[in-house]
Amino acid sequence: MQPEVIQAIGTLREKGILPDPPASHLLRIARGDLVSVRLEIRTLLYAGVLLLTTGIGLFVKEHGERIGPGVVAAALGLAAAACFLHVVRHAAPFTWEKSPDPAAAFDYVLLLGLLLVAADLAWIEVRLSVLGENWPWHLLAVALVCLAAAFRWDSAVALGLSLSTFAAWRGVSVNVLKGALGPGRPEETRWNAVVCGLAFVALGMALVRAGKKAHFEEVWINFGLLLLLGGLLSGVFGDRSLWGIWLAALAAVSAVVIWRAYRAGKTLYFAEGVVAAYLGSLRLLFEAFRNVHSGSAFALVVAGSAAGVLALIVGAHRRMKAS
Amino acid sequence: MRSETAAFERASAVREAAHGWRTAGMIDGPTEEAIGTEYPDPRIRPSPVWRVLTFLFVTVIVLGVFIALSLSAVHGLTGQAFICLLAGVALVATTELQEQAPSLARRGGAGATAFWAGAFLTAAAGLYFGEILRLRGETGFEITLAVSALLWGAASWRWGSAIFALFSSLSLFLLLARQPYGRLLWILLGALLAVLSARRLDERSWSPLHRETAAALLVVGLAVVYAATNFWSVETWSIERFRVDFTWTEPPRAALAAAMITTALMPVAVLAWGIRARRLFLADTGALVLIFSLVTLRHYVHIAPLWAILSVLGAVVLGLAIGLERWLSRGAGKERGGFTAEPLFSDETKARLLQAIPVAATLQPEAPPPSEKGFTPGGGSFGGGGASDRF
Repeated sequence: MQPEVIQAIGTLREKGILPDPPASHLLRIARGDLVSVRLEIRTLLYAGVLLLTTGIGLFVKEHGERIGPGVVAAALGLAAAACFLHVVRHAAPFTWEKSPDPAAAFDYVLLLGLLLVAADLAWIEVRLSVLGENWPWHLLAVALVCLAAAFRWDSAVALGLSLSTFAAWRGVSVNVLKGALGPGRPEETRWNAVVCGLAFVALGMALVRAGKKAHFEEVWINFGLLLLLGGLLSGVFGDRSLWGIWLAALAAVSAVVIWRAYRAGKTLYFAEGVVAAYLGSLRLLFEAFRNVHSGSAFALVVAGSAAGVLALIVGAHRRMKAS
Repeated sequence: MRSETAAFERASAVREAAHGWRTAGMIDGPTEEAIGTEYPDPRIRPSPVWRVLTFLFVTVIVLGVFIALSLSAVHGLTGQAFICLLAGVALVATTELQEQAPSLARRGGAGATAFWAGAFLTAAAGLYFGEILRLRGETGFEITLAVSALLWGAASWRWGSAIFALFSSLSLFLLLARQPYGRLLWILLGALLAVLSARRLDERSWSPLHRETAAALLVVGLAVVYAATNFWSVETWSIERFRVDFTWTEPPRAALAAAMITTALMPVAVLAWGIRARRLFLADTGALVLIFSLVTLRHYVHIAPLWAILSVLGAVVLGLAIGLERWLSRGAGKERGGFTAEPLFSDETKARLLQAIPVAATLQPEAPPPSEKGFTPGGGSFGGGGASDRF
């Protein structure tokens, strides 16, 4: 219940600012007589997919050999097919524009189907070793299947899975919480992250320009910036000999990102650019204070630089709002 | 809370509602503007991204200055306590100044300085009572907990923060756990907190921020009562273990029997309350507590292997969600009993895009290790994206 809003609706109706309808409908919602459980349904769907795929994974791991590889592969394939059947039956016709919003379950049934396909491919690869030493290529296959599904069924979830699987194929993890870009050799992973990031950003921008699924822009660009800036930062802090070059590259890329985001009024990209640039500049401070044994001076310089960035943020917000 | 701030918060609630109506296409732009003129809020309220950014950089400034002061001008614990006190008081003043300036009040900076004010003042109390006065036993720590409960409580009331209220209640219940009959105190005060908070959920004289705080405290009260009456908690003396002189004894059978009943019934009761009152935060709390009860059940009763439980539970949850959405959508006006699966005022396009984040973060396949010549797959993990090399 929102007492202020209830009171306001009455006042606005009396003053003729808010017509009826929709005033009476809005009043019902403000009183709490009608509430939406869409977020709860989404959370349940996500939890259901997570539980089910984990349960199936454990089952296959424990009993797959005993049941027989062929049976497991067929069962996973059948389950995936059932999911896709549901998706096909409930999907809107294909369009390069944004499709009408489907039921909340749609995206998650599609996600379950894609995860089952991925599991099936992985199982077949593990048991039959079709690709041999090139086994990571099955990740590319999964990424492409997810990409096709994302475009056909207008699913940001499928696109997110596609991009993260593509990055995984190149040995890069998009999960920043892990604190590392991936398990591989740092130099190789770093370059892979940078190239993947650039490719995602370029593809996202190209699709927006072409007017093809332009509403996916945020998924493409955010994943891309995460990898691109993460890769550059990894070079700044991880490469002992060439860190200066990485820092110069990071400064240049961040400047472009900040400037373009500022011009376009995209706050999230702006924030990503600012944070990456600031973190990179800390490396410069570490180097400057390497031989100066004054922790307090270092702390003050860090605080001072943060104050400078804060002034930039406030100024940029003012100008973006004004324009 | 300043009366001016409370008035702005009320206006802000109406403006936010109007923005939601506009997003849902129920009103047009000029109507939203007219509502904005009718309910003015001169404070600048940037989007969450700007506020988080400002919070982060204000935090860096505060910590940088604090560390610089601590390293250069302070010797010993007394000095540290003094610096903490000084920083805390200065940050309280800074927060008050920001709260009074419409251009700064909701930028994220006031939140950062308020948070660090609470943290530094609590630290000052901890250093003073625990290390400088060296009070006997655990007395210093307990006084610090009491000070922390009061400080965060006052901060919550003054600046209208539900998070600070959570810190305050956390300190209070930690303090109570260390007292004789701690569990009983948890049940009694938890229930009291829940009852008092529930009464204030729709209190017109309170600002929207204070009502949010009441909702948060209601959840805390229920969580505390559940934690004190959960079967596992009773059996393992989990609350009594906070006491320094804790010694393990067999839990009384009557207490275990009562805990068994509350572990089973409380989630259902809270869930039912939430549904009946159409308060989703209560229903969500009930659902969360239900998960804890199921985990407790699984801990004691191994009815099936883990894979079977996860698979069945996953299928049930999925089925429940799909069924619920269909059932609600087929009702008259796409609603039943005051519930709908329609988005109402949220931006559905944005919500669908945001779904990609948790999915990519949790279901992404593991990146393979660098090319291993002669790799033979086998052993290891399976799940999530499933596109892993290992099973």
